[in-house]
Amino acid sequence: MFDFVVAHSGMKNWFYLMSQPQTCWNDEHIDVILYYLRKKAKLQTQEQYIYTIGNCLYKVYVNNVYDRYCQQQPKVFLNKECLINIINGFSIPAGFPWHLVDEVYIPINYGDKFYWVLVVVVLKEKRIRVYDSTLQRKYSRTLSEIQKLAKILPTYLDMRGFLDQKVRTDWLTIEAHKDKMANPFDVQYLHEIAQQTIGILDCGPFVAAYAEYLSDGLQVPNDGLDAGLLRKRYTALLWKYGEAKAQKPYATDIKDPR
Amino acid sequence: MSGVTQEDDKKPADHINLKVKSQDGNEVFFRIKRSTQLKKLMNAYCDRQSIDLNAIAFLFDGRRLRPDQTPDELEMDEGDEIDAMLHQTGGSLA
Repeated sequence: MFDFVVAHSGMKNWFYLMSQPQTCWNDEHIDVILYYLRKKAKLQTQEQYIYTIGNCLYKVYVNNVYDRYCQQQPKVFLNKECLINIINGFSIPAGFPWHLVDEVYIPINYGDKFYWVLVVVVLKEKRIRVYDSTLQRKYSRTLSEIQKLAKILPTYLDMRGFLDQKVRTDWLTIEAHKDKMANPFDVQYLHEIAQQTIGILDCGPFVAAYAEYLSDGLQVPNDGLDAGLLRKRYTALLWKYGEAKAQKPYATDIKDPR
Repeated sequence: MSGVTQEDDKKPADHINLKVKSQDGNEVFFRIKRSTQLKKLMNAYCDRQSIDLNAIAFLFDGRRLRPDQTPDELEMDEGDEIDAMLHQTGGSLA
């Protein structure tokens, strides 16, 4: 069993699911890859562009808080702590507080529809960009979790005092936030991005690849993402890294899987 | 006077109260020994909620817990919260 900080891989089956075509990625695969991308941001503090990344729990919190928020249940007060911790950069290894970053990437799983998308919260534009590898599907535009996120984010950023922060960005001077805190975030679906083949179960590797391109400050290409290659690449990187780390658990000179 | 010495005050208690929070926000409290493997808590939680252990991930500060870890090993504090999250999977079927 390899220790990837946010998850411990079971040996063969974990990597088998990751590497083989026609197999699905679960929350552990997504969270492990996104953890190392998040850590990359943490180590690049001189960069102009700074991002942080959420984990698979965010969606659960958003759903939970939204449902209670809409029903005005008293427990909403308790649950709001989870989201405020997230905005503060707590409760997640190698996280940044949101007021110090430009963008926040969040993986969203649609359990009932059985797929992953990546959403990017563009804080300065008060916009949510959706990177969906199955845009040709009819239901892409009706994903309720993203609407929930768009609706509750302004409230929670406000509660957290986000707009008063001036450390890296003076948020109050940003046009999109002026006097519009109550308005939901705009939601925008990205169209010119590489798409998976329908029915091939590759949205997990696509979500990881989208996040990796964005983390390097690049545009997501509109074609040419080879899901088979992505699977092999992420599997090989993590296997090699996991093995090296297992042999020298306390050594610091093992480079992150990149 | 209580008779409790200062040294006793500083000594960490043997037991710890932990809170397990489900996806819908419901909370279940457990009291276990700091040196007990969390497997015991996980099994008890799943029994009580009638859920299969394999269907759930337990997370503490964004890290998935292993059944063989103990509160001591994870340096958990009194009242710490564990998230119980149903596993998510996806691939996009036609």
